[in-house]
Amino acid sequence: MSNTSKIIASVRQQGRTVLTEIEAKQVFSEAGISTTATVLASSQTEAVALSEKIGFPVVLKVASPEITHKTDAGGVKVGLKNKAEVRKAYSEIMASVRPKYPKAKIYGVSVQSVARPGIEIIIGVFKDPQFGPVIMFGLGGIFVEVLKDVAFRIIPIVRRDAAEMIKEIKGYAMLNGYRGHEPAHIPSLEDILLKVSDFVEKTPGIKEIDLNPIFAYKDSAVAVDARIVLEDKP
Amino acid sequence: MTLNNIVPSTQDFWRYLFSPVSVAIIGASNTPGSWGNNAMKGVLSAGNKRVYPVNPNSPEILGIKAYHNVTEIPDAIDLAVIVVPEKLVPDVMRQCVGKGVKAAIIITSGFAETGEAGRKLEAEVAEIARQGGIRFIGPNSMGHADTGSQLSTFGQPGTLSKGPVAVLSQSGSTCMKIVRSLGELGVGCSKYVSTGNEASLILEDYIEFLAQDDNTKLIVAYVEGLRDGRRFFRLAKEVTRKKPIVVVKVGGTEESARAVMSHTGALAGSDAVHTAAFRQSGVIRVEDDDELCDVAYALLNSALPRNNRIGILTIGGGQGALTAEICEREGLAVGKLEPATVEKLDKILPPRWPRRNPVDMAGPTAADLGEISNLLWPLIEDKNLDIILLLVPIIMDNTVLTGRMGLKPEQIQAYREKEEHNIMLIRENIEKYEKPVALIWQGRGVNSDPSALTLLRKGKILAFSNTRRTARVISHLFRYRQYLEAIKGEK
Repeated sequence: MSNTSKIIASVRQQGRTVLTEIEAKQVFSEAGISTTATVLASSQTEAVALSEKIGFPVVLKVASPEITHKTDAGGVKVGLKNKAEVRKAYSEIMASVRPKYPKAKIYGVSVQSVARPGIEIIIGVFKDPQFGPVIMFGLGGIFVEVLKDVAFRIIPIVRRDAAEMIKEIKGYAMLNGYRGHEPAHIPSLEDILLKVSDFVEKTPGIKEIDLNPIFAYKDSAVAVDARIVLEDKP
Repeated sequence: MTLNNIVPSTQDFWRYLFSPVSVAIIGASNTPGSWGNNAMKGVLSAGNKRVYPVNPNSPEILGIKAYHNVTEIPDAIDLAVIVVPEKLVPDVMRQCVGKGVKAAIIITSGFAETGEAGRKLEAEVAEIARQGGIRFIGPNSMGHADTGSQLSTFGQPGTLSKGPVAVLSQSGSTCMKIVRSLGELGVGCSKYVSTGNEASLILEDYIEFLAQDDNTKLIVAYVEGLRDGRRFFRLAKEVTRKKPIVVVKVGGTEESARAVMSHTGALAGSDAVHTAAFRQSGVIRVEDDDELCDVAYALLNSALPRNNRIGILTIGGGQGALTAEICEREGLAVGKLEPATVEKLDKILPPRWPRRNPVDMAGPTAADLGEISNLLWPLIEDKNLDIILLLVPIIMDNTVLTGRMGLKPEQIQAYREKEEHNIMLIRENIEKYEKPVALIWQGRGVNSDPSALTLLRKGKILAFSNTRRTARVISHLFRYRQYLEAIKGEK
């Protein structure tokens, strides 16, 4: 049994449909998609130790499959530069999240390395009632939220589809670099699209995927946040 | 009641549906203008089928012995045409099952398109048919036709003209409008189906069948909603490699989506996802039924361009500039003439011509217009041009020949022969260089004169009276070619 099947089986066993960020990143790593280092710390002490191991600065995020809007809940602390800041952030996260989600299962926090900023990309998957799994590509932030500047394809896709959907968005020119930003490495983005498509095709029961954001650099791209939702029934 | 419920094989089923030898018209009527009367007349008109009217209240329909019930007909029935009131349809379907009818079409409306009660009734009919092994068109269909077997349940009188286009439509009136518009363009149909509410046969079934139909070279469809989008997608990917599929899909705006829902009860679905699915599977998506017919005509009457660079030959500067702008907006490019082309044109055109694309003839005389093909050759040979648009008349109107040119009847005859010779030479070059040539000219001499249109079609020259329509059509041809090139070598 592959790592991915084990993770999904265990999520099912726990009666969940939403993978934690850590689980989702493990699944995507196995699918060949690079993600920022993310590990689970189940206590404040462990959070400090893991932060030291990953290297500062780090990000802490509350680890709970039931809390989807982590930032709104006060469950995210970024740019933590030393042990003291990590310790403080851990306490603050727990103090903020607990009253808002009194019944949520909280595993602790995920400790993540901070990715160097790049062009923000979003890649997603959802199920269309008529066409089944559909993959989406867009620029992150206001481009996807306000301008809805995204391109779709039916899964499975081939490299030509991936190349076309990247070129199709109105903000394509942004990928060539702007205001001193380095350009985005298009082949890396194509690779992620193909790997996500391939993963969905091979893995039954996937309902939704969000890789948001992905940071694109001049020679690579890395998924900074990841989310996988399973179908209600396997 | 004979037990004859042997479900026909797929191949046989489609033959029974489109080329039946024996047809029962259940609900046939003597009342002129009624659906039951229309269907009866339409099916009878070819005179090559055994037709049995069923009506419990009349001994005869249109002079033919009528039966109380389909089961009483002393013959095997290939196709049942059902036009009885909706409440009677479940019983009629049961009788069809008992009779061993092979295929059916339900013209009757008042089903899922009307609401919950109708939906239930439709589900009941579908279940009876499914268990009895009958697949059917409709309900709420306006009819289906096969020009090969001369079957039409639309109630059309007379001979159905044959042709290579299959029309599928989730709206009956749109189906007929498309068929008629294609006819006006000189394009005939192989089969056409008003698919109705698709309680049994769905759009995807017809496409699968038409992919294998030798008489169909091109499939066009009016779509409100797909019942099985994924199957459509898979099928379209295969089919468009060999036969183009042109689709007009409504439901892209909020109100149109609502209209669709109440029309055939189909879910319009996300427009952006449909656009993606069509593009990914090589389906040509058009905006409306007029464009659908234009594209169908062009696919059958033109080469597919290798690239998108147009060359424009115009009688005046204004039309040239307008056309250039419209073409660019529709995804085409204005090509840069090769120096050799400029040199060749220098020898023919007056010195005041602008020596660039669009090629402006700078005020030709009526006699100059007889020499258009001399200007066309350099453009067709130019490697920087993939499509040639002519904003000049290449076929002269009779009034010009007799009036401005003062030709006598025998001279006109000779002139026409020269024209035809030229047109055929143009065709040779269109095919050799794979460069579409389109004529954009005011109605005069083209649309108003069927013989001119016939000649242009013979020459594989596209003719339109509207620039934007021309540009859009050519843009579709270009993208389809691009798609076909792109998938070469892909599985």
